[in-house]
Amino acid sequence: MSETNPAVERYLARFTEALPGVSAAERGEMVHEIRSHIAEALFAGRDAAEVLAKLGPAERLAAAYRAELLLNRPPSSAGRLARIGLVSALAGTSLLSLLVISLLASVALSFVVSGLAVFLVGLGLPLIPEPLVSSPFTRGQSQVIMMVVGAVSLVLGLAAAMGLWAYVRFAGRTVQGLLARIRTRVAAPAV
Amino acid sequence: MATADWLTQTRKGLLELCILALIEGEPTYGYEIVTRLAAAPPLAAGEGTIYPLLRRLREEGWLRTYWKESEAGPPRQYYELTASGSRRLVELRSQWTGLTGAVAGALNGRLKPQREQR
Repeated sequence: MSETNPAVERYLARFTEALPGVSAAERGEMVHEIRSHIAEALFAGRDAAEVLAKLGPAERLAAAYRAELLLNRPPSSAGRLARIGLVSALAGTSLLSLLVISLLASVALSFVVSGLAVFLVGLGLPLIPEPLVSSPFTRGQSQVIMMVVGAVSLVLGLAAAMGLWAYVRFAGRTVQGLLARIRTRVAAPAV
Repeated sequence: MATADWLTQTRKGLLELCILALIEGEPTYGYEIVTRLAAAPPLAAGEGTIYPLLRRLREEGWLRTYWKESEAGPPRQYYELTASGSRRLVELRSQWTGLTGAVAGALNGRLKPQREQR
């Protein structure tokens, strides 16, 4: 179009302004096709005012475009809901992880350390001077009890540590999966 | 006014079918689609309603577009059916045939229960 018509330019400016939230590229295409329609009509000898009237108010035309774009993208709202669900799942998993991991870690650490300590003390009991330990048991009995209790505690602590390891691996995989799904949701086109 | 509202609602889905059918034969540019649809008064929504619809059909993947210079006038954006657009048209056509038959039946009273057939 060589000559520019002020009424047409005003119309297209209003049309452009009424398309907020539409990407610049998409908006450019829309303006381009409406401009092309007007140019074709003027070329066919129609009057600019009549052509613009037939197109309807610029704001209504823009609203029709936006409505069609929304119609075409039902995943937009559904996707948002799904994303909220995924993020909640992630938050839930994280909260649960916090509880499980802190519980298992403290059990593992305290049982292993105290079990080891009790076992070692039991093992070294004969070396400890008599007045330091007063007990209803004989030294031999004390030694056996301490070594057994220490060993049991050590085994429990190690079991908790293994449970912790398994849980961390499981949670890691779950979180990675959730994150990947959230990322693909976010990557989906939004209006 | 109520009749106009009803027509607007009914026309929306039908325009989609008409656009697909209109383009089926050969690629057509926007202005021609709009003016040809405008020539059928009951279908003729405002010229502005066609372009948003064309854009949606394109986003659905049923149409593709390309720009081409015309001999004398301004450049034109042509619309043509994609493979999935052709399938969509076949689908809508058969739906439409079924619908018109059923609607005609309803209007002629043929859908009423026929109890005396025993």
